[in-house]
Amino acid sequence: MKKYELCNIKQNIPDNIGTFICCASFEDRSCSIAKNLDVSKIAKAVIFYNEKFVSVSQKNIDKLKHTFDDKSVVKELKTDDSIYSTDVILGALSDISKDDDAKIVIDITCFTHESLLILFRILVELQLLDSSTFIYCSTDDYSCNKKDVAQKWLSKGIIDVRSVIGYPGNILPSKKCHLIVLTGFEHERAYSLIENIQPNSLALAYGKASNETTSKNKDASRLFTELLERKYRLYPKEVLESFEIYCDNLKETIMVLSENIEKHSDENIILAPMNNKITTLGCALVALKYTNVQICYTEPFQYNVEHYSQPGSSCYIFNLKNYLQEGPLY
Amino acid sequence: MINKKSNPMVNPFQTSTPEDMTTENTVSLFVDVFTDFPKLLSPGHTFLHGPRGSGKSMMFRYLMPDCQCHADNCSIEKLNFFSIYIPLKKCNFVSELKRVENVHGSDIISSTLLTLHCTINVFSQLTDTLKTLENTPELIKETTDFYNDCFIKRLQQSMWGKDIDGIITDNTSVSAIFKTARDKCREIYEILNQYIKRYAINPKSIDYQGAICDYLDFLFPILEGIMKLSFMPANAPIYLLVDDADNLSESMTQILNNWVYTRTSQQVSLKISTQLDYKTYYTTVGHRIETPHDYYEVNISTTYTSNKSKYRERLEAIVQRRLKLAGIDVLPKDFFPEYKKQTDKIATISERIRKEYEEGKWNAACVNDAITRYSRPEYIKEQAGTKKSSSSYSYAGFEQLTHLSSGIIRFFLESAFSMYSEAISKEPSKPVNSIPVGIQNKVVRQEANTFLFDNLDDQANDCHENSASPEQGQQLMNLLQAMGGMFRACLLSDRSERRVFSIALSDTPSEKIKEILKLGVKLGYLHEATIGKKNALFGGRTRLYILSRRLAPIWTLDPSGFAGYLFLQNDLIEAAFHSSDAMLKRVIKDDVLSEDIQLVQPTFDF
Repeated sequence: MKKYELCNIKQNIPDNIGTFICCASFEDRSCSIAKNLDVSKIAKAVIFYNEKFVSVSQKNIDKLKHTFDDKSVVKELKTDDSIYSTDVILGALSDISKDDDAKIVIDITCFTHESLLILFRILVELQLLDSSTFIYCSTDDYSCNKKDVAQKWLSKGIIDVRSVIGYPGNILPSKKCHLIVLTGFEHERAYSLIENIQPNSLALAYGKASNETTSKNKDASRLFTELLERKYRLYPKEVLESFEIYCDNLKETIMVLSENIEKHSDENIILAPMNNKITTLGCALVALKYTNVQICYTEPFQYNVEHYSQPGSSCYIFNLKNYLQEGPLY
Repeated sequence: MINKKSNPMVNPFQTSTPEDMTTENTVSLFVDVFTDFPKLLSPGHTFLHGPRGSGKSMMFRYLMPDCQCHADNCSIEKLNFFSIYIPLKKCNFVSELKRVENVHGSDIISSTLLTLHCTINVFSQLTDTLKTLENTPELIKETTDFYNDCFIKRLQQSMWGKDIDGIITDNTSVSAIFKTARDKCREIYEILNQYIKRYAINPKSIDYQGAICDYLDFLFPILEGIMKLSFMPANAPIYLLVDDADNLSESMTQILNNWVYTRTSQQVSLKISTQLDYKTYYTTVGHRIETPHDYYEVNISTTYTSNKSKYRERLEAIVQRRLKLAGIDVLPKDFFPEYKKQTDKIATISERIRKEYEEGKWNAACVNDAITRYSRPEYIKEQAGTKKSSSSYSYAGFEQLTHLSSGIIRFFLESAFSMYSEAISKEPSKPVNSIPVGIQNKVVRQEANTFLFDNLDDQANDCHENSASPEQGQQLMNLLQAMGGMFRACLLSDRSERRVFSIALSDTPSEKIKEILKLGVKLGYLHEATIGKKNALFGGRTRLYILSRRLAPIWTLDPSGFAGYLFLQNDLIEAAFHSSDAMLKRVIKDDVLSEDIQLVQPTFDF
């Protein structure tokens, strides 16, 4: 997975883009990729947005519409109705054929974890994965109005915990439940999730502090690691595992997740991606590989709308052609 | 969990999911609370309501046959009932199910899913519980007959007469036969789940060709067949312990209500636990299940918030048992000592009040009432001084910690766990025989803040008016802050009753108020009770909402003893939803606190 300066995106993505897909949000990052594209090489741009955040996202929706002008198609998603969102995404992608020469480029940066997972699942269902290129814009800082890491936050509380459409897993009653949480900065949300699921065993997957993506926030990661571990007093040491994941290395992420899943092969496994969107795609790939894995999503109570992130100047560009060797399982 | 052998280095307050606890641990840690909730032990459908951490799952765990046999030192056939634990976890009912809801035949799909879910748990538990049974040829034969004549027969009917290849002829154990039955049900369950998953992605693609099962035609006759087996308790009911029924969707909840509506409780009783968020009491055909006609109802919060001595007794026994198992031979009150300097000062104030009462100064029924009612508030008031900070008040002491746990055992255990960890980290080689008062106070203050969303300032400063935060979340937050502020003002006042911890509704609550108060109850910030209306002429009762004592340290409130309540009108409560500060200013300006403060009957506490 390669990292590029935003100004060099054009040279590193396909020339003939049939469909560009992105999600407008309250984060200014949602426009970072689009404004560095050569619009003349794009036939259509599908701009998703979340109905719940429309008032705080409108500025960025308008910017994106302006960028793509008459090539833009704007589609509304609903964070509290995943079936509705599934149908909208399915509808938006249904006229793309896997045999088209034109490619798909997807800016995954500002989708919610849930809508990104649904989008990915539909790409797999429609056999469009091979013609898709993914871009993820980095950040310079999270919760950027707070200097003290203890005060940083992205979201608070949870409204609902639910399985993600397309990743139900073959969850059998009477089997034990193992929960793997890919933790990020949202310790309270992670804690609420664990309280809600009440698994029999728990694995906390932390972003590897030594790599580039997380190094700038390693103090925050360390703090939240401590907070999480202190909170998990329900779990005696023998049922609480922790390991590191690679936030900018999909292959390694899949490998370490697979190792943990295989250790719990006779259990129901719930996977909760709460780190960056690259690792969320890692979770999607793993869930499609193992039948006993379900992905769940925690819908937040409140987002740090005003100070969520500060856009970075670089991005990751990658495709997933060789990651899914077997077809969809469902 | 705690070692059976005493080990002072093991945290005595470690908790774990009751499901995962061994028989021995469960029996050794469980304090019998069934005298508080006798309906749970008798035949009859029963709802057990209580917030998370109030001990519902632990009660269910103790009711399971392994614990009952161990506790009574008897074999299965001697039990008075045979319980089967059926956890309802969110992961069992996937989001894809929403696609099949409200379409033709959705009740059948939901019913089949819930029936199979329970049946799998029944066979799974029998597989585990009967592993140690002595497998005589007679027992194996009668179990094989049950499998072939009852289970397979029901399965054939549910598959619309399709051939079921399932007859078994030889088996090595009773447990293995039940495992075969479990695996057969899992196969059918998987077929149904595959259908639901495919249907969610493309609703036009397929028809359901699998089994159709329901409670009366499938699960109930199977349970009846099981209870006829000679190694099961004779003439005893089966209790299905359905845990966390709030996790069911509304349509699945209606299916469960169909089961409650049946008159089968003498043979099979449903014991259903909820976290106060049960979706509906209607069945799929529009009947409403009613108590006591269709079911009994038990509310742990109401029981323990309305009787302080009962809760304290239970908690003291639990703590004592945990300390003993960890090899710490001290009483809970000595393990969690009070802050002596504070206790002494309060004693001095009590003496002053005693003298002043005799001079007619204090408004109370008797001298002891005056001391109980005023000594601690007077101390807090003195601490507050002109700065009104009073943060130096100490919440140490078993008695105060009991009050702060607000009727929920796990709150106490979680705080105690942190206190013990901190105490031992200071001197790792030294056994902990008591928790220093500074640690007790620090932990409960921290936990109060965490409980109310980590940081109240962040809530006020960072919440954007158009942010993703649901309006009702912020409104609840504002209401809680207004309540805390009002109660604080009462405590620092010269009123006759200063320890106010509840609000009662003067008029019929608006839908908005009901919604926010319900959310507060659901999240554990408020407890709900009823109280007589103000108007003595017309009588009747109204709702009372008691602030969780766990939040007391945020406003340095006195968590002990029984407390008063304030009657509030709709417009004042709705004003609090918008701004706690504005509402508090109005309260002071209109002198609301001077009116309507009343004492809660002594039965209301915590």
